[in-house]
Amino acid sequence: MQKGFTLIEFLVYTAIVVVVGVISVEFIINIYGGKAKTQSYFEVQENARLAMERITQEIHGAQSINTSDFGVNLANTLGAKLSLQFRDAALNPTEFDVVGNVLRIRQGAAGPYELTNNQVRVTNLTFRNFSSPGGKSKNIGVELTIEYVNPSNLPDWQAGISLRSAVELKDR
Amino acid sequence: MFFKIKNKNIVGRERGQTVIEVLVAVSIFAALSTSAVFLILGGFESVRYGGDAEVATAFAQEGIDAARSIANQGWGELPVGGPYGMSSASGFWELSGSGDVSGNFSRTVSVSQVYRDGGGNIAPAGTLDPRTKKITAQVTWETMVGRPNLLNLISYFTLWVSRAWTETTTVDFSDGTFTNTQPAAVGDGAVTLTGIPGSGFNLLGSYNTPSSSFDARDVFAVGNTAYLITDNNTTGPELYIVNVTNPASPVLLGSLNLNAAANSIYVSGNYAYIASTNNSQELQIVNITNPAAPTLAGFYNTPVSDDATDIWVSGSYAYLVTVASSNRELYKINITNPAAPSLTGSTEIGGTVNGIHVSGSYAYLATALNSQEMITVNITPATPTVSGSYNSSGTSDGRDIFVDGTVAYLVTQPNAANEFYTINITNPAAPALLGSASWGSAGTTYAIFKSGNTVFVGNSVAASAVQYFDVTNPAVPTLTGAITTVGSGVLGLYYLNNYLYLASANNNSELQIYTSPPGGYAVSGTYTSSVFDATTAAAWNFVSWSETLPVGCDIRVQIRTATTFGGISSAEWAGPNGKDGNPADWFTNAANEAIHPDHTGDEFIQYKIEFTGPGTDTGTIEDISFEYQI
Repeated sequence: MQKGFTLIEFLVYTAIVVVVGVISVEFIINIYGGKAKTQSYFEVQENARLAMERITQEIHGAQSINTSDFGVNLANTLGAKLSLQFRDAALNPTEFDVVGNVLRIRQGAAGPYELTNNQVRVTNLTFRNFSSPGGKSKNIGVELTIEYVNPSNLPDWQAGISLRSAVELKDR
Repeated sequence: MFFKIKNKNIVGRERGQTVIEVLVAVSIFAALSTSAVFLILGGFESVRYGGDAEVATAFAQEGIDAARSIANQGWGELPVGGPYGMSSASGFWELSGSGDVSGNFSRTVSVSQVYRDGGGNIAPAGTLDPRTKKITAQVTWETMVGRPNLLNLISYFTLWVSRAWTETTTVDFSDGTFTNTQPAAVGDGAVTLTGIPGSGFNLLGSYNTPSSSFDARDVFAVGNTAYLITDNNTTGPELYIVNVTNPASPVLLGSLNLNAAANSIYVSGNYAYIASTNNSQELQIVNITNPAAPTLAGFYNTPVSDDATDIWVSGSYAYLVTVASSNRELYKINITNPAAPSLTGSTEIGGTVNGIHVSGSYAYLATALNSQEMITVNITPATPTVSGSYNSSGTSDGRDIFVDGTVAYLVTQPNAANEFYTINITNPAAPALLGSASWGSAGTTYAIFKSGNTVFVGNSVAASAVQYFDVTNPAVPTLTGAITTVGSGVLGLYYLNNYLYLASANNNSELQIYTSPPGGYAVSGTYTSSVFDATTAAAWNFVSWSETLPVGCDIRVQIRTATTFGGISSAEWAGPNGKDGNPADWFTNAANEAIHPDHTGDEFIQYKIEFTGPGTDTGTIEDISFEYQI
């Protein structure tokens, strides 16, 4: 009797250990996945926020628009750019482009400087010229998509953000 | 723990406690792990919410800047109201619908009015500032079903890039078309309804001397005082000093008995100089310092007892003329001491002198001489010398004369030809006729006075005792009309400050005061401006003007715009409701009125001001301004 009990007990213990173990592993995986999701989302959000703020600030301050590539995705098009003209000659031209899925800015002789880091990929940056025909309004629409670098397509690391805005040139 | 449990099992004691321990352990583990899972999921939820807020912010910012783009295209293109949607379908931003959707995000843009307090700060209430608008972009979304979120971005737009087309000076307005309107010299230039000069003369008031039966013979006005002289009043005064501050009811200030009929009066300084029929006091000098108690200061007695007919004072001398005398009719009398005037020199004219007017170095005489009705006399020498003369047609006596500049105006006794002559006296030695006219009446001519472009002539015909001529062109004197209400002849007249004073033979109103009714104005008229070129397609924002509107007057404005200069003439006149085809639509708020966005994109503008009034007065527009953006 004493030995049988011991075996049953052992079996119960084993089952409990297995269950608890499985739960624990699941739990740890969950924690890890949550951390990954949070980190990847944070990364794309912060990159997108910085990129958008910089683009908005530059367009707001610009005086006019140089020949630029409107309506095309700068991330897919080699050499495509947005070029802005300022009253301050040192800033001319101010250009945004995307090379290797990294957003860059060049201002006059300075740069190019990267505005997004290697954790994220700019997969869409499209500018649209919404300036009025008479030229009284100069306005640029901006579409920006940034995704987390995730070459293995792991679900937990899939994060992206798409922003859409429009910016009026205020220096007139 | 497990090892511990196992150890206890090996010991083989306390088995019941072991199960409880397991349960406790599992419970603790479950609680902890659940907390951790919630923590991680909650953190992730926050990250998701942050991402959505970022998208919403960008989307709201697009709404704000789209509205800014529209306001830049034309302030009026972004009217107060909403919620609006924003469309870029045409390649530029336009208002469209009442909202937009992008994915899970819905956006509206609303425009509201802005008020400012006394310090110019934006305030909930105060003065409406039409050049500032408050823009609210609102984005709503659900992070998950049943969890709505809302973001408001607020921005104030100020219209500061405005230009203006302003017309304010006479020159600005001169290139427009005046229809029953006229340029006016108000400020630096203005436009009013066309003025219509008053016509005729109306009796304002009269003064009746206490002694009723003596005709007034002459009148002189200074300031608010009229000096009236009459026929010989055996029982009372001949000089009356009357306060005419209120012409409707003249009030006697004082009077003086001159003991003879007085023919003419000239007031200078504190003295009145009177040409008298008193044979021992042909010139009487009256101290009028105290109008309530005039006193005879002095007199001059001509060597012969001839009635003095007229007098003029110039400088230190009084020039007195008399009826025909044996050897002199013009006396130059030094009046430096009014108490003792002394003769400087006298001149033989050769006949009765009825009137004198001194101008510069010459005295101009109206005489009864048949071939020298007007005589010019050089009065510079101590003894004045005859210089030249003019012979009017016929033999009618010259009766009175008035000189203004280079023209002498002479009236004679009525005759078959003309009684009124304008004579060029540029060369006093050789007066030359300019023109003449007749009033064709009988009776006796008494007096002449000129004011402005009007010459008044008094005569003895009661039904037309004052004839008046327009002498705007002295070569063509034109009889304009007659005063018919005097009730008797007029022996003397004086015009001062819009009032015509008459010395009449009417025994109930020896002094009569007339005025020309005030000029009126056209009851309606328009001013149409020149066409203004904004140099490029413009957005027209506001119209404002400064006006003066007397009771019963109104001013309103319409505009028309076109993309080409040639298109203006066929464009529709419009008011604040834009190109709506309603010709009754007018701008009426002078302070500021918004121009409808219908006009946005038009380069050329023209305005029209419509004036209306009661006929007695006119509104005045001093300047008008159109604000626009290009």
